[in-house]
Amino acid sequence: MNMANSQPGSMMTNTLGKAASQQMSREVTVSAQDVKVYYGDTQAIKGINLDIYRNEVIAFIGPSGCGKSTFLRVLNRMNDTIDGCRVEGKVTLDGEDIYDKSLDVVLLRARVGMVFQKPNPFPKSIFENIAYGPRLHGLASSKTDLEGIVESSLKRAGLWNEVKDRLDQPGTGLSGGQQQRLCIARTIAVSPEMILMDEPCSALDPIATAKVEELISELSREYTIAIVTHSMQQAARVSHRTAYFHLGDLIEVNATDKVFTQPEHELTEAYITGRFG
Amino acid sequence: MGRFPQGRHSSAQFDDELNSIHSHLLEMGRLAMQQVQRATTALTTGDLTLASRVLFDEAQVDRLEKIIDEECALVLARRQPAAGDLRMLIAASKGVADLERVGDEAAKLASMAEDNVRSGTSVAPYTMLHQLSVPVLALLERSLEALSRFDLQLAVEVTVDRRYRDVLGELLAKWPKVADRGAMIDLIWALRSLERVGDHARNLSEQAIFCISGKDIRHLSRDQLMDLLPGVSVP
Repeated sequence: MNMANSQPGSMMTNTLGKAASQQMSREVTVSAQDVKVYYGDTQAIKGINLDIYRNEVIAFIGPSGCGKSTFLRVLNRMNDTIDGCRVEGKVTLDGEDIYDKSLDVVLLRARVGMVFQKPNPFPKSIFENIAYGPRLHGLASSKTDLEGIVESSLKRAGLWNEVKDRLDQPGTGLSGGQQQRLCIARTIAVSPEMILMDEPCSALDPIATAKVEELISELSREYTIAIVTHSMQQAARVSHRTAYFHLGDLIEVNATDKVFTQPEHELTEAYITGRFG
Repeated sequence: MGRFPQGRHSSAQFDDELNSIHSHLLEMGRLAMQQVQRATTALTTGDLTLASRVLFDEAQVDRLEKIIDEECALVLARRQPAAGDLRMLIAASKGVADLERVGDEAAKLASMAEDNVRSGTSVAPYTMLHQLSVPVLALLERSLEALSRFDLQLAVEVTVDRRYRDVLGELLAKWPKVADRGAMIDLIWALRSLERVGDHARNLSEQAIFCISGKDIRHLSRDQLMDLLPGVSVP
């Protein structure tokens, strides 16, 4: 049931879509080829082929249990941490096989960062939350360098003005929305190529959600972003392309404006119009 | 009211809201059609009562326009519709404007009928209107049928049907001698009104096509239409 990869912009139907298309490059960042995932004897992903392009925001949508989060975690080998999980097929990042045994998984997760559903700042100061990664990966040669990375990461995450006078205070003392932006800042502090977001706004109020969505749009100028969301309106607002998953299959991937106005597959139509089930 | 081709929503209330809009749109369409039918009869027979009835019932057409607009706004605000649901709302919003104008054309014809009766103008020259009203009303009826049944093939047939324009051309070619210049101008206006009703019926079918297939066929040639809708027979 897999659909062929649609090129971004190939099915764009309106001006906004064309603008989004022009913004994206056609350079493939991640390529998944015949990816299958098993949890023990249960097959969660049934052979997915998908190319993700540099600087695009791609949204993964689908009902619970469809495999969208599992597939997201395939992209930075987060499934390695789950007992009994087995991944087959090939996934490349800039042409490099990320499941190659010689690959350093810690480095991979710096290149492909992840933001989770629930904000999970370290029980450390705001400054240390950001500084931890660059320090671990040796990205700063001096204290000044490190301070520069912290400041620039917080600025890019739109949080600097809110926290610049209290960098020594615990990250866990921030509001939920601020904590999530802190986690995004922490992710971008190690200069990733791609950011994975697993329902990043599901624990946030509408104002905090709007700020994170605005941030996603800003970040897509520098990073490739894949986001799993249960909010179809969010997928429609933030993504260039949308991929619809159903029972472990990738049913349709297309320009977001196309998916939400003229989906090609009846299962996609049923899901996005609330007729599924 | 007919079920939507995509089936039921998980929310029955959402189904009810869309069904209500669809139902009101068809009710408005049938009323607008009846208005044109009655107004034409009033004009061709000099029936003052019928003309007054049309003018009185125009408020019903306008009332339905407001109801549908309000229902569409509420569904957009409450449900954030997508895909076929969104297209249905867009089609309804645009279709309602066409139907309201059909109602206006009927009111114009009815006013003309009232004026003619009061001024003692002969109805004889106006009998030719029937030749145009028949194909125009048939077109409007088929357009509403396409919208009612979500019938893509029928909607395409209506969109390319220009027979009423041929009839208008024939009527103008064998134009009767009308001594009264005022009556002659009124007759031309009446024909023009019926022609506009035919145009609105075709617009309505274009919206039905958009609703059903997601294809915007406005301003396309027949060949472009065939390319855009493969599998549909274009007469």
